[in-house]
Amino acid sequence: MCLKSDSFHRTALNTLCGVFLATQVLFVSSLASAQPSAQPPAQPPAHPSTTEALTDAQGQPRSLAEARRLLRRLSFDVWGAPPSEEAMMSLSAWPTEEEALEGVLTDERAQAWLVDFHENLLWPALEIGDIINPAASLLLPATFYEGPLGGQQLFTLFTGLTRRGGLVPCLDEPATWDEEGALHFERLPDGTLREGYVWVTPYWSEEPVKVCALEAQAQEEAPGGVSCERFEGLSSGYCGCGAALERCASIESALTLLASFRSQLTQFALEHSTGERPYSELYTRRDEPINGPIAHYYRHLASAAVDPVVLQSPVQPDVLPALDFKDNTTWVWAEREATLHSGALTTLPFLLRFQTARARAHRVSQTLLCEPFVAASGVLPSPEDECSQEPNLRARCGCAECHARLEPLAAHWARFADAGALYLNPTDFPSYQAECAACADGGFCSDVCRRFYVSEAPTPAYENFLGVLKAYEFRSREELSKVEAGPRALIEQAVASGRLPQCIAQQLFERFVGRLPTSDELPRVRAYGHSFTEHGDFSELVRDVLRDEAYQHESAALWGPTSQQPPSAHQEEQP
Amino acid sequence: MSLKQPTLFQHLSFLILVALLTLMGGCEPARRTSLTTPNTPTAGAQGPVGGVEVNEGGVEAPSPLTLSARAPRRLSVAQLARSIEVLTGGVRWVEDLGQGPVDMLTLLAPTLGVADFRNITHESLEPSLLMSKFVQDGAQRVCAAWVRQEREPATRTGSLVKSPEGTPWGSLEPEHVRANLSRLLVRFFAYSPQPSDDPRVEALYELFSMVAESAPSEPAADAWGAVCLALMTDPEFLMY
Repeated sequence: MCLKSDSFHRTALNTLCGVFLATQVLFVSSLASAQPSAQPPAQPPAHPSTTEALTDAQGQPRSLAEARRLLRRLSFDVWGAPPSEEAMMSLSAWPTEEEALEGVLTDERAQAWLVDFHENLLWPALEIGDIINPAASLLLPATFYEGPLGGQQLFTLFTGLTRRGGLVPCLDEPATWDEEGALHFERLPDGTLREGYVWVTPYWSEEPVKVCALEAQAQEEAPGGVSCERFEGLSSGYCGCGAALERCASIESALTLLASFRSQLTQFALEHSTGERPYSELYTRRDEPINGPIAHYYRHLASAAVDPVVLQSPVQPDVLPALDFKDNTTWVWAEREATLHSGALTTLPFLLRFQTARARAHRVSQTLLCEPFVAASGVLPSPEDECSQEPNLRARCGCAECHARLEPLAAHWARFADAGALYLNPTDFPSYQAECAACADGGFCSDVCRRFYVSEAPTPAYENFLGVLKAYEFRSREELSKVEAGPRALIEQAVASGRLPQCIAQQLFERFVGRLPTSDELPRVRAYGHSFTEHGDFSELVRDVLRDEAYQHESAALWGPTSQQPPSAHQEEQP
Repeated sequence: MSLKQPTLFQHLSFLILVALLTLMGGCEPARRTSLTTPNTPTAGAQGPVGGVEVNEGGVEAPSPLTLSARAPRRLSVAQLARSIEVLTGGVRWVEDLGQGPVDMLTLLAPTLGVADFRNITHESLEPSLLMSKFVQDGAQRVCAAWVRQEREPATRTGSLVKSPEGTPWGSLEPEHVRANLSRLLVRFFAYSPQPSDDPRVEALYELFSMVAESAPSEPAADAWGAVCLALMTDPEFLMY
């Protein structure tokens, strides 16, 4: 896809070499001119009024060159793209910087930075295996396992294992039934039993797909009376994927789900960035935005997600919005059942991205409270050292330095399952279960006991906790109150103390200005944070930072005072 | 001069520029009386960066350099992709690697360090040779596509060359060319050229003329393609 010919490239590149050198020399000259000097910096020459554009916060006119550069960096920072040619050429449409700022911030393209900022805070990144069980899904066609002759029919590994005698798909030929309606199987030389396929229009598409006949079933119960809505039923191979394959995910629907869960954070961010609702509610409100794919996931797929453990929809079925899977643009806020739910901090994407209470607390402390965990000493004592045997991390030498602070913070997420998103409600998961304490005696120990309760005591220090919900292990009375209060209490406390608003103000400053505030600037940043504490309007905080002189002053490392000369009026004419 | 020489030269020049930018990151002319600088470079929007606590009195000031202005920044990959699209009126860097058209900046995102929040949690915006190399690769494709788009009246957006009525798109008229070069400098870098004899306009005009003179058949198309390459591979294109 060359422009024209080799000769063109040679000419262009040879010439480019010269231009590049010239550009570099100019560029480096401008850098050199930016060296600090004992003399005051050269002031830009006075400009004729025709070249002035925008007035700054003090009402002083900026040169057109400065105004254009301000518009370019505002545009890149807020829209993630350069301004249009029209905007660049006709800055007079925005006579003051205030109007320019409003023009940029109120444009719908301003969503770009909001999304980016909040994604950098909370890292909404899931993988398919986080939300569905790949062995109970229709992820890959038969060709993937059996080569080109395998066909495009979809199948689940569990059904292959339990009904066909191996991790194999069905035959690439239509399914047949006998006169009594029993599915016909063919025994292959490898000993496996194979049925044929059927065509089904799945919930994720208007186009029918080929699916193995066993997987296309829509049974209500598996043998033994296990519900086909549960993982045990689905993995039996007798249930099938249900009507329109609703209980199974394809690669297409799984990718749509991942995108929707990522967009859920965007919805949270957009809802709390306009000033209509307090910003802090992004992290405290009980409801969450749900679109078609997420509604389908909660209704049909979550119950079979056991590892990581999702198991239950956070929103009651009768509250779930009636949205079709294919409607991924309509978002409806729906109240989550548990009162401990706390904005974006207890959503499925956050809980599954940070899969332990400690990881969740660590992220929030680092990113919303600006309180990172950095040990003063990087040297750990020997594992043979007696104090290294201490099971309580708050007291274990080498660990205590961070964990004495981390464990109380982590207590806020203790009612949300580790390695999962399940809310451990006090009814189903009481703080103590005698039957789980009995596990240590060598009796029957249920999966629930093994996973959620202290069911063994490797050292005497654990004996007092046998039968206790793991979330309560080693917790002080004060920490237990945090367990029952949830993450909302942490955020409300951080808002009241000003720590969260100050942290967000500092992060915004660093993002837009590109560096830490200096000692001169720090009081201003704190003042922005203080105002933010008072009004809670994120958009006002953004305006404060973008109006700050540190942002308004352009870098002389790139644009030295002598590198830009005022253009004349005729220069502004369109060719 | 072989084909590889300019590329190598550009790489070296970019290296030098990177070094200079790094050295001069804090070199601002004194705009204010109090001169301080942070003791640690920032790492973006990730809290008290690098675990450095900001003391009550602000950051220590180990040198007398001032930092009252915004720090220059490199475009992120997403900003670069949008930038190319906006500047060229919709052209994207697309290649067919055998399985249909692929958006190269999406394909290269992990290589270029775009955060996926699992394996890469923070996109480094430091100047890098890798970024420079791929921008040069992309510029070859994008500029060719841009010129093709703009020389055809049916697809022309006027983003590369604006021609007054009566002036053909392929005009080599110096005034027409210089006016468009000035336009492009404003668009690409927010650089406002001097009314006459602006060194950057003249350097680009010299390039334009040399390419046009040696072009085998379409002087204007080849020359505007060369101008596009010069603009898109300029380090300033990636900075704001």
